[in-house]
Amino acid sequence: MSFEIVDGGFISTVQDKGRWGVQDQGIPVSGCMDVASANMANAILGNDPSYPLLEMCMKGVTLIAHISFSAAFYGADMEIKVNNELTSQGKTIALNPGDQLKIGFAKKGVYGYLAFKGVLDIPKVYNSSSTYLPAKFGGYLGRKLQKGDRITLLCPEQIPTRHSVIKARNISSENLLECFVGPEWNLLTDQQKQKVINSEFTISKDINRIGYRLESEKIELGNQKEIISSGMVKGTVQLTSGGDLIIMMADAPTTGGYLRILNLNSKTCDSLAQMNTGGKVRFNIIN
Amino acid sequence: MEIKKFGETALIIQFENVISVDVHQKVKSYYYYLSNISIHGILSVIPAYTSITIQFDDTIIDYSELKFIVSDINIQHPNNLPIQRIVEIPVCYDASLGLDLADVENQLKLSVDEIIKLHSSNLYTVHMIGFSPGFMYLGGLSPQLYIPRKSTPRLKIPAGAVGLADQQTGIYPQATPGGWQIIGQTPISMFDVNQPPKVKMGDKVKFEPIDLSTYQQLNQNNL
Repeated sequence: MSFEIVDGGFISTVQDKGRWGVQDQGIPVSGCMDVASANMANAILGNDPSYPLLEMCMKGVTLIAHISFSAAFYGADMEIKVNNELTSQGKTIALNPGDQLKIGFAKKGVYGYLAFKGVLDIPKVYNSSSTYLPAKFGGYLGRKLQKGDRITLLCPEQIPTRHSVIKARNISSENLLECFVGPEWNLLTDQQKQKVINSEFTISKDINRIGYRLESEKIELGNQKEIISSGMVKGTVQLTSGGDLIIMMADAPTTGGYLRILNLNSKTCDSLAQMNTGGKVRFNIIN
Repeated sequence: MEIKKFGETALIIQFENVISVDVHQKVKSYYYYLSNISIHGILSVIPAYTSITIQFDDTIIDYSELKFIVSDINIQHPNNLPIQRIVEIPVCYDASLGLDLADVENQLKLSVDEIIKLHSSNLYTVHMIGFSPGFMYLGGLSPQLYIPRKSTPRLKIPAGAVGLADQQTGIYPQATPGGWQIIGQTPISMFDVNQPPKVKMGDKVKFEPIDLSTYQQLNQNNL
């Protein structure tokens, strides 16, 4: 065992690039919500982007190192302390046996990523270490991390800092979401399209790894409120029969029956993942 | 058939937009073809009732290249049609497991025996798997068993519950909230990460009625 969790935070899970190729079995891709931040955390340590890491939602973990290794954090603005001494995101953090790394509440943003020099020894399910909480598989025993969990790092290493501190992740509470039109965009009337393009939407309380529900004046649909169930991907914007928008995220079901009116690009999914309830978004169609 | 861009790194093959055996055969042929020839850069293939979604790695292949390859697929040759499997799934329709059996009896004006006979005598087609891991969308339900969803969904439906909803029947692979009318339960696991998939899109499914003691026995073996 290389380190032990003494506080699991709020929802902390092991994630990686996701579980690809099994979507025909109805298995969601999963993987990191903010891929860019996760890649940065791995890159700081010189890791390949495929290395699994810890994704922490709203509040970070506290861990105690039992061996020497390096770690790096990037993403949401969470307070990071090593043995009660403040440090920052975007840099190599050296940990020695007995050291306590404490990652606090997110002051800005939602998801923080803790990467390790060494590979988290997590069994792979369908070739991925990502946790999929709804069906309780992948990651650490298919669940979020909690006090007492012990994790082993394969090939742990302490590495010297090789660069200056990377500027913290840019996080905003307002966002212009870059998107493409979706398969059912043309089922909308010009009036409905204008409403989608010109409205400001508020991020509701109903946000998680599956999707982000937005609030606005309802978009009243005509006769066709649903489609014959068809594929969905991360970033698909569904217009529900009730007239609300839901943006599908990392744990999105593989298929759905609502109108798919837009699709965010991956960069935009990353920045949306860092937005919280109350955040304001607009859509900007780029094709 | 129409091929459309679907976001930044996916495309969708849209077939004639009606649920039918004919369209299903087309989707199935394309899906098996795509699964058998591995195209470098394809990350996942999601077959559905009338469409196939393909996600790709745009650092390896771009939309226009993939569109060209997909539109060039010729599935006219009968050898491309996959073998048809029939998967038998044991279902216990005992009143203790069929939580809504009594309601279904009343609403459809059918006896429990008639419900069981209608439900277990048809051969169903697995049109697609989606919504949650291992959840089958089955075609071929007897119209006499068409029944609306419950007006108030259950907060928790047990894993393995067999239900009816509108023109569909299916099994909940995981315990989830849901509005289907539950008429029975299967003792076998419909989704297990440690086992190969029980059913695939394009398979046929037959429900085999079992009694409560057989259910309990099989359920024990499963633990």
